[in-house]
Amino acid sequence: MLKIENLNKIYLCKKALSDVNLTFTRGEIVGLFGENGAGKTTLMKCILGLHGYTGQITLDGEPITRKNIDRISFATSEHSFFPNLTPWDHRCFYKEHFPHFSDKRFEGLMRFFGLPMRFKPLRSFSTGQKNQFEVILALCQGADYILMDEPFAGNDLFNREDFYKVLLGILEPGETVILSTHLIEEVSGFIGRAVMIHEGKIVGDVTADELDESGKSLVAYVKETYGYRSDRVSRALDDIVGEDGE
Amino acid sequence: MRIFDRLEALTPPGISPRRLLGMLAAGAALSVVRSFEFLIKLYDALRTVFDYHPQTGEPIIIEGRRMPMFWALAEQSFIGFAIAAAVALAFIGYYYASYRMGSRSIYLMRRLPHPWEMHKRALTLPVMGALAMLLLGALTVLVYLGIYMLVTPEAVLTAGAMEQLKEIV
Repeated sequence: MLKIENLNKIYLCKKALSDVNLTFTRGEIVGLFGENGAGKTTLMKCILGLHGYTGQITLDGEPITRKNIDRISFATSEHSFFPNLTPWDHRCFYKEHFPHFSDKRFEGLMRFFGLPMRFKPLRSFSTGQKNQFEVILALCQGADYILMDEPFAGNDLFNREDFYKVLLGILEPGETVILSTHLIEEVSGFIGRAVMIHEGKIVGDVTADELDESGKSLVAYVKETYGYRSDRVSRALDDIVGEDGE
Repeated sequence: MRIFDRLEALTPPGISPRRLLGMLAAGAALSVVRSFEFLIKLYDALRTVFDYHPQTGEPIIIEGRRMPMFWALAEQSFIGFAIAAAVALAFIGYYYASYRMGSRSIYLMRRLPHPWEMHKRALTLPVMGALAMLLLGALTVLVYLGIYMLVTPEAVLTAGAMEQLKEIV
């Protein structure tokens, strides 16, 4: 269980995360939603220890240290691979450092996405291919908790749909995915829980079952949680194009 | 090839050690060439303390002439080694920066189970390279010191020069 208690993070004078309390259990697929700058990336980086913070983050009751960090993997749209290495080189590097690295899954996913294994360094891949490879590494590390931060920025719709199907097909029951994305509608079909973050605070946390019972769609729930006004656009347009003095 | 593979394990992944090794080799060669300045100065200094017998051609020490002290002759002849060592150390900055070039591999390096992997790959070769340059510089100084002592008669050494040489050794 990944438990976050009273997490606070301040950047200079700005509070990036404020009293965040969350618990992720094994086997969940969680969507993490929020506007740009809401704190999604910061939350993930705090979990990984890439940012300092106040509060407590524990993994099965233990603080996250070098001893258990291999149980968490991370795929980011910023990319964390080595641009001058080939996928094969990455495989060797991961195998050396992550004892539970899954060779079988790596080779299967590389084949599925049609990515070249040798001779071509990552820097020569297209953005879509780089994203795919970033996600493949996160899925193959052998981690129990897989954090993905906007992993599909730059991938086309077909590519993303392929990925969702593969993800659902390959995940083991004990693997947890925490997926930060703006593509709410696209992921609504396969996430089991949605967490909403706004200005560094958790403003919504709902399971798919709870949504089903309430009869609301995920998009409707997100809009409601954020207080989205559907007449906002028409009012703004009226203000902009409306005649003066009316 | 196997040695080269081992060296690659001591640089950030995807960054070849060739550039640093090339710099070290060039730095060593240029520093040694630069140090020849000392030999030229030593030769010039020797010419000022000796005269040659007009008939026999044998060298005669000119009365009252003294050889400059070792370090006064050396001046900046060995500066090349220090510069090469400084450039090697500058690679530390380049290696750390490489974790942020083209991607953010720093995120991966910082979450590796082995806590020193990132620093090991950024520090080892530049520090070893800098030490090697300084060692080579020290060896060159010792060799030239030997030459200085060999070719300079004790009679023309400045007062206190022998003590200084012993200190250096």
